[in-house]
Amino acid sequence: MSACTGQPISWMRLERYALGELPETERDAVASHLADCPVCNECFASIEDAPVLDLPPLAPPTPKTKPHRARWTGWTAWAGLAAAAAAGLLFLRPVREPASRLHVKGGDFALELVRLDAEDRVQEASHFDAADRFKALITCPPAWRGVVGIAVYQAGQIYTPLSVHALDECGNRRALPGAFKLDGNARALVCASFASSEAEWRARVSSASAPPSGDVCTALESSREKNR
Amino acid sequence: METYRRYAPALIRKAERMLQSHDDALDVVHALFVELLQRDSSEIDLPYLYRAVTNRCLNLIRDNSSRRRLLSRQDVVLRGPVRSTCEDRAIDLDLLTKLSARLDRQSVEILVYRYVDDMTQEEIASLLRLSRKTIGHRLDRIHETVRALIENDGGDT
Repeated sequence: MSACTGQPISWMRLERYALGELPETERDAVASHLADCPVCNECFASIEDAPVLDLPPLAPPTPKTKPHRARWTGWTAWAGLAAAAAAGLLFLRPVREPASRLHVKGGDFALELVRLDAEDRVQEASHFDAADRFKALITCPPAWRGVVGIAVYQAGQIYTPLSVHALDECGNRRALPGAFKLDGNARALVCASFASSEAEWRARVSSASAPPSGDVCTALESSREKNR
Repeated sequence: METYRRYAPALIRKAERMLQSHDDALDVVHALFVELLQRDSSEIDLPYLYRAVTNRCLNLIRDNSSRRRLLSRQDVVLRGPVRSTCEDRAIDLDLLTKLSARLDRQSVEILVYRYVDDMTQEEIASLLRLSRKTIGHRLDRIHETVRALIENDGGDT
């Protein structure tokens, strides 16, 4: 431990001091402490001398691709159930929605994808190139707690490109950490799968050859296929 | 977004101290600003962003797969100089992951502000809009948990 001569100046105050954001009285107190304390002065120097970071560009707001929620109602529900039963899936492991979701009032789940090309420019998110990166924005009701993960269904395969993320704070358009890529020529169905725990999420995804009921999905076409 | 250029470097340094990974710190801060841009948020200041980054880092630490990845790649240098200790221990990523499993969410947040960000109790109280007395009580419980953890692990935390 590096010994401070008194009460260490917090990193946030040092940052605000460096940015010139502190009120005059606080500024004087920080300056006085830094003059006496080599340890805090070293911390401040690490801020002042930090190399300029090459920050990744931010995506400007763009018209959003309308997310659609996978609906399993009417004849599609029966068709889906028949297909699942035919595949024996219903008997192997029942697919169920997180119970907490069924009771959410006045809220909904949504998935929004932001597509960044190789130069980090925002592109229309209805299709994909191999060089593109996608960031996922999740909307969930504020009272809801659980986990969310992204599952991609493509050419009969399923893969999960991002870590499962615990949603301790739900709200509108929460960006999931990380970005993912899509490859191949086949249409990709990108789904956000919500569950009450990571174990439940893994069970949902591993048992599904198609998105489980209640997943929020959006379909993207390959640019190569589109331009063919 | 001027706020991004102004505050992102400070927030990345803060996330690096918690996660001990530059790439993950960058990703957390970038994701936060992507979200703020989508929400068209304005009038945000550094204390607000500090809290947002703290909570996002704690999300990563609590997530099993992210935690494993962070622990396998941690760069101890990014923790920075240790100016405050809890029961004579520096709160680094190893200890933070263990404590995040034993403490409630707000206590872990307080722990980070006090022993990673070196804030005073008054600063934490102001940031969380709680009384200084409440922060003091929470810190007492945090100390008890750290002591118990050290004793259970035979001092090898």
